Amino acid sequence: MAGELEGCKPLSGLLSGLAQNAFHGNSSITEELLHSQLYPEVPPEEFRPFLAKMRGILKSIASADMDFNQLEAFLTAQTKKQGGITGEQAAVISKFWKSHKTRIRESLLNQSRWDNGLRGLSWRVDGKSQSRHAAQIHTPAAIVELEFGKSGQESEFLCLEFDEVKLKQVLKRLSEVEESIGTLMQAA
Amino acid sequence: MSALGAAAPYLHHPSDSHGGRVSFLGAQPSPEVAAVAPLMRDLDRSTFRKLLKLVVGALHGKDCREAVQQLGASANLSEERLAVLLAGTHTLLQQALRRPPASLKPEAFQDQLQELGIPQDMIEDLTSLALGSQRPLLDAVVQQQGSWLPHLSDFRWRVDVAISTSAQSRSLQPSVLMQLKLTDGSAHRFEVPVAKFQELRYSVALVLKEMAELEKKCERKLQD
Repeated sequence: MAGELEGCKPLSGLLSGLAQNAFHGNSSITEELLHSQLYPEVPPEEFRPFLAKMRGILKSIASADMDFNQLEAFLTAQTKKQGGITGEQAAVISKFWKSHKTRIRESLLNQSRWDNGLRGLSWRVDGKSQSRHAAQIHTPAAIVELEFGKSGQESEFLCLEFDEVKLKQVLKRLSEVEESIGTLMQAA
Repeated sequence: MSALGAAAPYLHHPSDSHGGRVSFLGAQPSPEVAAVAPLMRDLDRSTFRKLLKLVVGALHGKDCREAVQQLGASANLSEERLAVLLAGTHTLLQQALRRPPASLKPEAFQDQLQELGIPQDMIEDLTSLALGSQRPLLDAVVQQQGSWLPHLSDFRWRVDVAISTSAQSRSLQPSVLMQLKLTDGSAHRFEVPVAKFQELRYSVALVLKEMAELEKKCERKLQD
């Protein structure tokens, strides 16, 4: 029976399912589902600890946001442990993390974002020509639509109008932000 | 019967009598403007100036109800006459201010007012408003009235770096927090992830470039 668990084909599927449940908030991927779909021949009392072990490993990797060096070191240590993982299993986990790291990291970051986040931006430039009050206005106006939303909630939209002067001021501020980020990340 | 029929009076182009320039009052003066001229003839200049001041206040968006009542009482004007005077002067000024100063030539403007039957000294007062030193201030007010969407009145930002969170023991992700205050009084606070921030910065720069190009095109095409 242990041989069943050591087989690597279903492991990739298991890791995907675990990630869905643990990181992406998909509660429909249950232990029972994973068991019946991926390891139907394995008795539940053996499957459960195996699942817990894999879940623990994946969570450690995600929580520490391991880079590839750290990952290799960590997985090697796991293969040397008593009741750890096999070499092939380590390889599957490594491959999984490399391809899913960005998505998982994004989901985890979102779990710590509680305010409205900027989701998108659309814009349009109008050439104002006439209004009820003025026959000729040569000024262009920019209309910007900002899309915000809190994690898991529907978007809100905000429409603003800018003239050139205001928009230049905004761009200047954004450049200051950019500089600030650059300085911070250099120091980090 | 002429083939033009009922449309004939409206097809008389005032520009025929003004050397090719359309009157600032349009093809035909509106009824309130046509009605005001005879009443102006009965006003003394100081009352007219008070009236003008009131109308300018109204154009600035001020509440003029009390001032109107005071004017009616002090000048001994009936409500009806006062109403016609206010409506006519307001429309006249509004139409004059719609035109950019460059396309409103003083002689043509005064000729058009004379044709309406407005007394000369009042023509001078109207000209100094529409083409004088007060004009830029009135234009600024009008510009503001032309927009309906809110504008940005204040923009603050902060860069935070999350060192550790309940989901990630080691995070080190920078995030930009922005607070916008708008002219309609509302305030909006939101977080901008770094990738989105780059998109925002790029979009703003692109919009500015488009605006500059549009302005160049407009200047070339829309000259009077």
